[in-house]
Amino acid sequence: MAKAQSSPRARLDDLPTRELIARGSALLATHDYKDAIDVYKLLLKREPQAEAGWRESLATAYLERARQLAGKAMYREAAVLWENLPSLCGQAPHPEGYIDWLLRSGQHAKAMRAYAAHAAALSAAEIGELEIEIAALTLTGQKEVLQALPPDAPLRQHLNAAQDALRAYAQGEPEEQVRDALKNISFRSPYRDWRQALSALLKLETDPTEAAALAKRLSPTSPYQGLAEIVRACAAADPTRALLTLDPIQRELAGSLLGLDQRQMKLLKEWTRLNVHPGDKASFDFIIANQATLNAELARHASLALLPAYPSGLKIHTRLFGPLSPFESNRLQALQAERDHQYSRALRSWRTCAELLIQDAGNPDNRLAAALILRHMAELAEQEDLDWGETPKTRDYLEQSLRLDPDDRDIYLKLAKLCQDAGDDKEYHQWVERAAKHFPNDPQVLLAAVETATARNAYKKAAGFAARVLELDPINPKARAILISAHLAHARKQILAGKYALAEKELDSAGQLERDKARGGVIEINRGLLASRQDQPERARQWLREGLRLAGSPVLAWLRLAVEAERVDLEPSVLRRDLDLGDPRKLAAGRADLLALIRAVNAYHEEGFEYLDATLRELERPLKHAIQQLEEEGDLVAVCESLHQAPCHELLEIAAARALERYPEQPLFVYYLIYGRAEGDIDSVKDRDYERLENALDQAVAAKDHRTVTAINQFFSQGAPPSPFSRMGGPPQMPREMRRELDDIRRQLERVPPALRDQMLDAMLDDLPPDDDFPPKVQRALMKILLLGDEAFRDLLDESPDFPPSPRGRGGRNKRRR
Amino acid sequence: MPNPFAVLGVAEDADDDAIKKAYLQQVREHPPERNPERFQAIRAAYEAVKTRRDRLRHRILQQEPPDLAGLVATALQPGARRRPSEFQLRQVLSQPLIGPK
Repeated sequence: MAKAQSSPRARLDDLPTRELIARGSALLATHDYKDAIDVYKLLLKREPQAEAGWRESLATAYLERARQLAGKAMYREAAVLWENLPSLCGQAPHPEGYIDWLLRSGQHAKAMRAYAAHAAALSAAEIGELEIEIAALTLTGQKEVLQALPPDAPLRQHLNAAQDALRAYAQGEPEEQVRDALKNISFRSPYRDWRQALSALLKLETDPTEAAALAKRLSPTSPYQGLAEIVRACAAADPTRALLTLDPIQRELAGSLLGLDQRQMKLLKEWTRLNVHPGDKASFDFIIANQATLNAELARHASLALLPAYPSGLKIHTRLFGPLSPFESNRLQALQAERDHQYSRALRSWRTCAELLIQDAGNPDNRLAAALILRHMAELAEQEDLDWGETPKTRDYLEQSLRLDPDDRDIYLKLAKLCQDAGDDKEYHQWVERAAKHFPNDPQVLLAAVETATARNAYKKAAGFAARVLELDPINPKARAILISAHLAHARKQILAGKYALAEKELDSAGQLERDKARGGVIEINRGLLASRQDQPERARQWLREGLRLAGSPVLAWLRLAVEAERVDLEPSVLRRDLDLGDPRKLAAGRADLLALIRAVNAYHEEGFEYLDATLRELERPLKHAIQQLEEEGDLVAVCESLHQAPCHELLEIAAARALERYPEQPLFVYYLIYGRAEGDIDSVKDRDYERLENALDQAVAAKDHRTVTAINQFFSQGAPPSPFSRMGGPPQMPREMRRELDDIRRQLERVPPALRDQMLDAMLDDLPPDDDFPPKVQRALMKILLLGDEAFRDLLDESPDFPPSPRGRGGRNKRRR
Repeated sequence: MPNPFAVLGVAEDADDDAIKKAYLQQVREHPPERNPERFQAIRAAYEAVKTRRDRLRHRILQQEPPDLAGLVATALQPGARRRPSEFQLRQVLSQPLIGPK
């Protein structure tokens, strides 16, 4: 332990010479010159007379270490290290580096003496480079340098010409005169870099890009790089930012070159003092301190823009730029409230803004601005879940905005979507129709109109809208598909009405629109069904066979025939017998067939056809066989999802069991298995499965698998009274035991006479323990709901119209099974 | 976000045509293949203010802190260029030599 704490020097002393030699070589090889110096100094101390090249190695270590320090701009330290070389190793290698470090560390007199002493040992190139540095110092009038130069030194030869050029340039003499002076400096002169730098400065006056190019030609180590940086900054596309990279002396000179006046220079100075990302107060103070130099209107805008983040600045802003208008004042309050996440307050302020603008609604800008504010309010209300009360605020704001600015297509569609989501179909269709009226040539609106018209069985109307889309956009596949569906739906309607000629016409129209038999034989099957209704058995057989062939797989053909026949009130079994389709249990099906069938099932479900369960059960055997071939998680999820939606519980259980073989205990598949096994009824779930489902829910929550969490929670909430928590991400999960206890109490209460029941209930509610989350009144009401169900919930809603918030998807989507 | 009007080099009361013209001019000067970042900034600025509706929305609802750099750049518009004095030149040349050799 003591050994480990000893100094590196002590540890080195312990090493035998042989190991020290090896270590020294290794340190040199890894450029660890600092430690190499210690090793070789120790070796020479042990054996001063050794002739093993240790002195050369020590000299190398010293020189390279000095270069490392110079590389970090530690010129003075580098020079000191180099000065040790002659005494330690009897050598003075590379004196040009030493002289350069002296010059760069400002030790000019010492540098000139060293230059004189070592000049004979320097190469012509080394002398040339050093003289460029010394020339720059002579230009600045460094007396120590000038005095050290012999009268016949080459450095004196062009000094006058260089200084003449400097003076002529600085005194504003014409460019020609400056260039005449520069001509006296030859290309080999130590002042040649000065000639290049001054040429760049001159060029800046007429051609900044060329000036930057001239400055770039200077060597990176040239003493005139400071000037080159100034030239480049002044020539930059954004000099303001480029000036920030310069030091104050350079910036001062650049300011002159750019023609900045004293006030601008002061602004630049303060701007450089500001942090890269100043705070709101610092930014505000900067604007205010420099508002006289800044563009007045822009400064006012910038100050105003900072006020929501820095409200303390309002007094100064008002003093300097005048009082805010009522509109601006409310706008600022609204923005401040948004920053503070006080959205109700923000909505109030925005409302005032809109009202102020509407007061002068004759001004089209004001009308549009008010509409934009109302749309922003709608966004806030939607995002921040403020749609409480009878009329959702979002819809209300958007409707108001359209009265002020009826030309925003997206708002019509947004309103239609909101109504659709809320289950308000009438309003949904109306908004789409309004949009279609206002934007008769907009494909997106027309497609929405097709969908609503189809949903209302207004096929002619739907076909008209879709045809218009295809006129505007002939390759729109969605419009084509919708139009074919509309013709098919209309054809079925005509078949059912006995209008066979019209039905045929519709089927012809669908056939003309279809490309590459993309509907998989549906049109042909319907032609066959039409022929069957017309008592044309042979023609019916031909068309149906063609349709079934186009379906692509026997199981899909079976499904299509069943669904399409049922849609026109024909008995599929009769047709199957006639077509000799045989026993469905003997049909063959593989993965591809199953997935194609699943796509068809989903499409039928989307079209609103809900009687698929019986047909799927007929196909159970081949489908079961196909399910066993599935491997991929995506395939298994798609199949389970479709069977869950259909619903087809038996096959769902089979598919989920297969999925769990491949992906054990995956929560989503556990849910599908138990849902299928219980036939979608939570009360039929066995105790063991209930626990398994609870575990799956925990796993899904931990994995943030929101889809599975939602599905399981919805399953758990079956049979429970409408939950006041539905807007908070679903009802809290109630332990099964507690639910059973509540059910028992409820049943007992139902058995007693109403008067006694109320007394019993009051007594139970009086005994409720205090709750931190709800006030006593709300707690009593919630418990009453849990015990009495829907009736108590309605009472609560009647008493408190604002509580609980209305469910997001009102209407059909939220209907309970029971 | 930088002030979109400053990015495009137009006045705040510029109309649709002037803004589009300035946008196309900027895109010609800074095409995406040469300066993708600058192009993105120009594109974003154009999208923010290209129509009257966009400009009103920007003016009313914009919550970004002001573009101080743009503000300063506007105030530092170069004036009549002056040559530096002998003193300034010698001062810059007297600064320590730059960079390792």
